[in-house]
Amino acid sequence: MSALPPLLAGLDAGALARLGIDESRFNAANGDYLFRQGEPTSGVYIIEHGRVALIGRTPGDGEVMIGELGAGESVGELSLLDQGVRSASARAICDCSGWRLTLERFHPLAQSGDAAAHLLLDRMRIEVAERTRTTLFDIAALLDHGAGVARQLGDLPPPPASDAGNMAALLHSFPGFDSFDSEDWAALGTMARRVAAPRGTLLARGGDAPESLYAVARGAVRATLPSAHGNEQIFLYGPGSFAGIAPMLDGVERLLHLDMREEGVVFLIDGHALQALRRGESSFARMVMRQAGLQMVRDLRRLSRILGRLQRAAGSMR
Amino acid sequence: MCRMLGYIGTSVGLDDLLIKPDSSLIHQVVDAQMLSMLNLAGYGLAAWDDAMADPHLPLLFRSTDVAIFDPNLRSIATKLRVRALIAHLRGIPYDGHVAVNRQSLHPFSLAGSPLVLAHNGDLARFGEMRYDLVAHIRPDILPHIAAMTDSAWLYALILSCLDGDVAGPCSLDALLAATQRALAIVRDIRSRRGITQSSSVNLLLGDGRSLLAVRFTFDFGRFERPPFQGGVNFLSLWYTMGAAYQFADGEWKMTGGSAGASTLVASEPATRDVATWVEVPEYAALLVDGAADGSAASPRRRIAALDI
Repeated sequence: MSALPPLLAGLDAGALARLGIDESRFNAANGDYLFRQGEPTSGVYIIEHGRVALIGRTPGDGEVMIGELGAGESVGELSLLDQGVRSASARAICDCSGWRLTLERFHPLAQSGDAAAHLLLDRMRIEVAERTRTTLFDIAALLDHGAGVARQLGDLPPPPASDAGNMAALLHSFPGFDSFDSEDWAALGTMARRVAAPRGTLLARGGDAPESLYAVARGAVRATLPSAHGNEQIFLYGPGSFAGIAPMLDGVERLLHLDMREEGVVFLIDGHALQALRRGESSFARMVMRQAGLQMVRDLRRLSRILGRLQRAAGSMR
Repeated sequence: MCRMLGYIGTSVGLDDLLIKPDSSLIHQVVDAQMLSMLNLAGYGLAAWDDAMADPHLPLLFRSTDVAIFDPNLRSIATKLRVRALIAHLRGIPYDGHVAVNRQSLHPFSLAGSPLVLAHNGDLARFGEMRYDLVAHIRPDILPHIAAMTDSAWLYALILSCLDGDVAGPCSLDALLAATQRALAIVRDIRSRRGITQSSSVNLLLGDGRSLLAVRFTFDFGRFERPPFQGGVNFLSLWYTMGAAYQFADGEWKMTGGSAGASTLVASEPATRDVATWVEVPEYAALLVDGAADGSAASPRRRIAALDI
């Protein structure tokens, strides 16, 4: 391999060999599908030559072009983070070639704590955070044309935070947290503060610098996107969810307001402490970041659906 | 928990809606994709078609049989075409305290009213709330409440919150307003009774000409101790749209473009592939006007917030 694409930048020959990059080249003729929406995942495609279109299916048997990718870019990262089905189709729009990072090769490395695999996971999470921000900008543009549904936003100030206390008692039964042991809970407790807040509490405002991640333990946190026509509900986070991850990873200001849609309890996880977990250097760090990655992919998949709905709404208004 | 499905649009075979797709409503009796419970406590449907007698009133069919094993349902479904439908599978907690009987089956219907209701969810501690609702239910409706269940009483409450005669036609906006009033009454009673447990109220309301699909939960995320029957996610509600619902290119889907006159809304997609389905937002309602032409002045489908 000559110049490394951004996803693989800085990896040495040993890491590339472990990941099996040179063993898994792909070639696609113009019009060939690399994968189709709804298929089980098989890995990431890294484009060396050519261009690939990302296409989503829409109600009524239509298609919409989501984006276009070229040399050095990669497609299909979501699948390495959540191992879910493909959320869009990828079709070559000229003859293409490149490398495949297969799930079969990657997953055991990530499970074993391989440093190169965790560097790639961190890069993919940042990529997802950036795509989340880009999609939110696309949604905001549609909202400014009146395509959304305005929501009343809570404006109560948050009560003071207290020590985390017994986090396990509130969180251990929710997926992802159910594999934490006593040492994991102790580690998480040192990073967290607890807030019990009534419905209507504004936890964070769009435009704020990201300082904390919100782990929802009880009740519901709503994320809304402000526009000239009001606040559009984007996400609703129930118990066991993380709210506000993307800005913690890309380090850019929040775009979304976070308020308590229902009375509940949230744990504020310190942003600086979270940064130290990103490379997955302990099993605790890997568990936390895996959950963060899963949440980010769920959020991005949901954003794509919201964008599609608002595009149709905007289309019907023209 | 339950599963439900609503349709309004061009005439379609009942089996195309209920039976043939790979994750159709009757498959959801035992194998729902988005609910880890069985739905064995009976089923029901309300169907409208212009070829039926009194086409403004629904054909109603309910049975305590298990839908997937009921040959009568399959037989009827292969012979009937409908242009509007609300169908429901009843699922109940696995604790032996809930009755399985015909009176408790959805969709609920008041004699003479074209409006029917199906409910997916449950109101926690409803027994403590039931008689607080009496004051809000019209005296002419109260004697006709079919069952002691939360769903039967929600139906009576929403009808009572409608302005005017329940036997006559009502607009979608009037139906939405009545539903909002009813949910506000329930929230108030829950508050006075100190009931804070997460309680889902996904609804399908329709009269054959229009359809209102509600995705709402009181106190979402305020769960009691595990195990959490029905899961910890906000109860789902999805829709898809097009000119016609049919089997094409090896799959069941809406065809003909998303501006088409047909809308299918369900607790979960009727196909394993969910790519062409859209979620109704949480705390929101999808309003489907079967008579509208789809123009900006009269959209067929719109979303309204439920800030209750």
